[in-house]
Amino acid sequence: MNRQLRKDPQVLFTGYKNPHPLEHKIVLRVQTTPDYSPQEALTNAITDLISEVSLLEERFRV
Amino acid sequence: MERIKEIRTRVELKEHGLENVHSTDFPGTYDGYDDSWNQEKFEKNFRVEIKRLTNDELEFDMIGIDAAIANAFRRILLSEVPTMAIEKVHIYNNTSIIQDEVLAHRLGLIPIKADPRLFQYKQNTEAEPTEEDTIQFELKVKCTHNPKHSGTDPDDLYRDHKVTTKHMKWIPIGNQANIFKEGDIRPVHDGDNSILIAKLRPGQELDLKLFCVKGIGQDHAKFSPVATASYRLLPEITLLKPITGQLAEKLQKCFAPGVIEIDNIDGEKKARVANPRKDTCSREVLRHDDLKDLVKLTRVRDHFIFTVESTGILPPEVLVSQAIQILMTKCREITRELDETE
Repeated sequence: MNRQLRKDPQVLFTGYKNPHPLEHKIVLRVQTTPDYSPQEALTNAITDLISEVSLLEERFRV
Repeated sequence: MERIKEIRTRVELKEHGLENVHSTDFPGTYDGYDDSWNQEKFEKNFRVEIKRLTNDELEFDMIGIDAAIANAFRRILLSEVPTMAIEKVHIYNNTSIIQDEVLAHRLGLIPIKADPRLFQYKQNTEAEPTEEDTIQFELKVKCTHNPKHSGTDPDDLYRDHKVTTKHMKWIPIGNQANIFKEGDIRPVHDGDNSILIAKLRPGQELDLKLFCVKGIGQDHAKFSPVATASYRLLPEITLLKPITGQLAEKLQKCFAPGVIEIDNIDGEKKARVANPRKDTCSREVLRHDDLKDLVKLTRVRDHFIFTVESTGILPPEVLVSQAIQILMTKCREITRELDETE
């Protein structure tokens, strides 16, 4: 996820942390250029990830 | 430029450590490189090659992908692909020397051959078992004397003194007998390679009912569908200068068999890198002063050699496609959550 965000040229900073290992909670920080919202960045990153994984699935089947 | 390309694509093995371990191919890291993600570029670079496929083992190469994704698959295979395993044991009688709780634990670890995709997770652990979420087995063994005994071999002296997975009998619940054939549901190891569960002596007996449920490796390792699931990077060996004669033989001995071959060209021995896949990434060659400046050891950062070894419950190729499905579902889940909050 973090990696996919970093692939976006309009994302200035992204990082994640797990505040406590016993809690199943991840904090994700995304900073973007002024003309682009972090929400958009996140949605785009996931869409890209989905297409990446679906291509993987397709290629694996052959 | 050559150097930058190398930093981006190779992990280097040096005499005293590794270099360029992390991926740095992100936009803004290098001048003159477009590292942003796009579908076309990915489709062009990405390849999957299946190298070896047997009933319970699969080796395949995934090329052109980031370590984060490869690792995600490994972790999902280990702990998130569901299987069926014995979760509850009702002990009606156990006069053997193995304690109830130890016996129950041993039983839990037995791989059960049943397609987990045809079952549901048990929602409430206290609820009555139903045909959708539980498989029931019976293990009823009593050890007796063999009246025609001779000698000192326990195998001759006693009957049923070794309790194995062979003795486990499937008891269909509800409509299960119509849905599944005999042999669809059984321990993976029965017959000649069955697993020893307990040993008995005459008069001792076991009377147990075993209840299998669907679960994932995150909850307990017994649900893990793989014996191993791991990846390594493709090793790469570069000979910087031609290596000939005695030195070539010395070089060959520094690597695993088959990695370096020696050709005979016009009566002169010349070393050639034949199969870097077989390399164990030992850095022995760097310990020799006369060789260490002649070779470069690297690994290709985006070439993952995956090995998946199934426990026998599901074939390995099914496991991998299940893992892909699970990662997809997770992505969709996040998209849905995001849409809801926006």
